[in-house]
Amino acid sequence: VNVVTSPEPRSQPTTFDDEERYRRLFRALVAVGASREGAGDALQDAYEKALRRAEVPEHLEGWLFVVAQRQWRRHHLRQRLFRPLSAARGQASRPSESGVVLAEVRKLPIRQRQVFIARHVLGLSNAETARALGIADGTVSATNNHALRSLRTRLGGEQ
Amino acid sequence: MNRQSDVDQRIVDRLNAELSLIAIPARVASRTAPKSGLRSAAFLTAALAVLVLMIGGFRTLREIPAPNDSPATQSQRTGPIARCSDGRPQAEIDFAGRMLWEPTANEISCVFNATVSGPGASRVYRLADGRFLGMYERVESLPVKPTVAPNATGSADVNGATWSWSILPGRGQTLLLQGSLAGAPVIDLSIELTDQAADLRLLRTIATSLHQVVVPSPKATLPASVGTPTLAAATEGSRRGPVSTAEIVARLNAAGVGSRISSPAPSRLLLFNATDEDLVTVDESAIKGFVVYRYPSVAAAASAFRLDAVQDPGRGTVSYVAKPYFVGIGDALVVFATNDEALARRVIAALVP
Repeated sequence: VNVVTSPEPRSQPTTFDDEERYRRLFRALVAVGASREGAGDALQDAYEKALRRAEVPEHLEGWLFVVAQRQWRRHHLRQRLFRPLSAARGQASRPSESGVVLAEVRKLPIRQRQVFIARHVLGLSNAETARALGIADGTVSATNNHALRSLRTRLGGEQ
Repeated sequence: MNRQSDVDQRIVDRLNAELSLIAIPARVASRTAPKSGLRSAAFLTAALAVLVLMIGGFRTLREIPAPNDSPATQSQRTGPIARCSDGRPQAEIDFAGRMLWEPTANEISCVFNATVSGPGASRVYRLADGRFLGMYERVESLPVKPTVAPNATGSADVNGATWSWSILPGRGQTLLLQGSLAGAPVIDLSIELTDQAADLRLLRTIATSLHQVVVPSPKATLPASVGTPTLAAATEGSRRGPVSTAEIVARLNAAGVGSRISSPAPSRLLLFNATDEDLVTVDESAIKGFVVYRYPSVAAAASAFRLDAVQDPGRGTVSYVAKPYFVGIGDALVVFATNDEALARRVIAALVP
């Protein structure tokens, strides 16, 4: 075996090995509406996309959240479009996870859901959320307030 | 105001508590994920299904000669490699069919993923040390693609043949061992690099353990009588087990007759005592309908293949807009109609190879 030593061994970045971040992102996707399998697949695709980039995205967590969410929504839409009619009769695919608050969060409009989850599940700041979602800081704040108000109203009796 | 923010906080806390109860599946080691679309979205899998079947189905049907003289290594397994518990579903792995060559080294723990695209097939195996091994097999020569310059290259001996290896740059470096077996496809083995010499030894061991997969070829027979002049029929006499519509479509695609399974019809017309039917769309305008009738058993399908229902006027007559052809395969009866005899021959040859 001819072994040629690599001229410049590269260090192994650990950015992608943060298990806690993966869990947060996974839960955030489930909160948005993905099934466990859908969340896992979408996240995996997002990580792969990140790895293919020449440079690690600056705000990795927000970037992964947005990309994974886009992957999941695209896949979800296609599934709904191409689902056979027989499967549509009374068998709408619903996430198996349950929880009163989770169920209400999933009823929020998508933008409110995204902002609320980015802020409170991923723990991103207003500025980070705004950057990830490509909206203004003020919009994040207002949208988050709308989401909280809706949840307060709907869950008022239970809180 | 304070009360309001307390309520908000409780909502957030409760949401996080509910989310924390969700079991998170084992994470795929993304840094080692190969380029072959590890855990790709189900839609993509479905979109590739036709290609997968083209190769998978073709491979299962073609006759592959007896294993060559690959020397046995001291660490070899027998039988197929099991699926990883956190890998892609068994159905997907089965769907991809088997590769022409499979490694038998004990260093491989399980199959994580299996995909086929065009003339190439790839597998992702998990190794005993937890890393992923990518294996790519291509029947034709490798396509020329723009790629980054390797950090290092060299050659290695595998069973007396010279294989080349290279270390590809990236966030995690990849060791790639590439070679061709006598009369066999080009094979790529890749692994995330940790220790160059040890990893190269490992890949050589795995390359040495590759053995050819032997799949028996079914023997097809044509019936002595083909019925009335208006009918044409063929049967795959050796088929003893059930056959899926997907496999039928795969056979067509493998023969260059583009086809896919159609959405179920709003109402079904089950003929010939069938219990179910699948509609197939064939990309040939000369084919005026293509239906796969399903039966509970091979015997029931064979009974229907006698076409009593068609030939007995007392039991009704079926009219076709073109000349109908009947092909019995396993527990299915394939019926298609066309006036293009050459095309019909192609389709029958594809279905009953």
